[in-house]
Amino acid sequence: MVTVTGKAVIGGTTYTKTADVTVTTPAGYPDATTTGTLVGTARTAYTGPTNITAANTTILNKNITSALTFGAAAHNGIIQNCLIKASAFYLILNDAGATNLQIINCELDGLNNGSGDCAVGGSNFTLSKVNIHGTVDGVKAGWDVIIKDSYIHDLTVTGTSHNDAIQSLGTNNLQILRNNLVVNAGANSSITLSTGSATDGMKNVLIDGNLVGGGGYSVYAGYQAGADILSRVSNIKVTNNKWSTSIYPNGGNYGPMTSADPPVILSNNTWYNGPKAGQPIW
Amino acid sequence: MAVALTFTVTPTTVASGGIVTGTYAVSGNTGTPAVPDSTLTGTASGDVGAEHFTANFAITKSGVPAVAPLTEVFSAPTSTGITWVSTADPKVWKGTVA
Repeated sequence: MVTVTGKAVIGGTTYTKTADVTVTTPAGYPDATTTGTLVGTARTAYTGPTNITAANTTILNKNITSALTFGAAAHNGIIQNCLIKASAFYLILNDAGATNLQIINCELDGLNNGSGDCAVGGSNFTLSKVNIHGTVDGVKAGWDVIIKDSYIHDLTVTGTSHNDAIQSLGTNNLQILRNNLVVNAGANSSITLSTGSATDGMKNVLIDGNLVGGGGYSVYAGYQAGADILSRVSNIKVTNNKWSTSIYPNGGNYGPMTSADPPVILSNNTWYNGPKAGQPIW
Repeated sequence: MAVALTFTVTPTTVASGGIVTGTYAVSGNTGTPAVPDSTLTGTASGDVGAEHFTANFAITKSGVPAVAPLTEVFSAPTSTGITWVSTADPKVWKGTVA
């Protein structure tokens, strides 16, 4: 339940009222039918700027053929019901400081550009019901990132790629919720928290309710005792996720998850299918 | 009449990624209409020839001036997980559910 507060000033007197909205989430794991652009809602060619500098920019119902970058002042951007098909290093980049970018019901197709980097990179953004494919990595998540109800798949694997559906090289506040992140053979992981690269820390991470699979290990959970710096890590939770055996019998090629030593908190992580369906992965 | 504000959001159930509409409505902000002021009443009488007449009168003074409706300013709704943008109607806002 989300409570919405409305406020009006009438003749110098302030009136405040509230209304409640119930936000539902789709049943099952996301796929191409529950993510991406909206069936039946027409889109037109995007003719606006590719370097977004204005705050409160809304890009709605568009077909976009180039990458979009958001400048420092481009707060509160919205990209909704858009198809971005582009061969670029990033398809959407928000790393200059703009806050509260929302990417909703979009399909991001990197056109199998093996020299690109990822579909979405930077900080301060939310992905909801996004279908990502054809890029090397799916999302490179910095600070204040939410990725939910999305489908990241069919990454572009090359001889030198190191594909992750979601990768973080350091964060404070990352939520990965209810996504389908099963990556194709040859990819590195569904989720990698690379604390070794996280000089600013790997903190306040919640990985909950996802379907993962594939990779060397499907999940690199952020802390390996004896290898990672303990002070960089706090409040990492991996909970209620399921591992698919559709790519490898053990989830990943070497196993379901690694770098998950305490203080990483693990709870209710189980097999999605295979002979151990429903049982804990460890 | 007292001024009152209502605020509604529709639909009340929405899927993640959907759009909702927030609408303000104001009642009672009609301004003050012109109303009659005091009324003078009296009786006049007189004789016309052999006839005596009595007449009652009522004179209403001019009304007080009307007061315009109060100025209304509507703010963007606030909520967690919904981003609101204005529309051409200041009472109507569109919200995108993350």
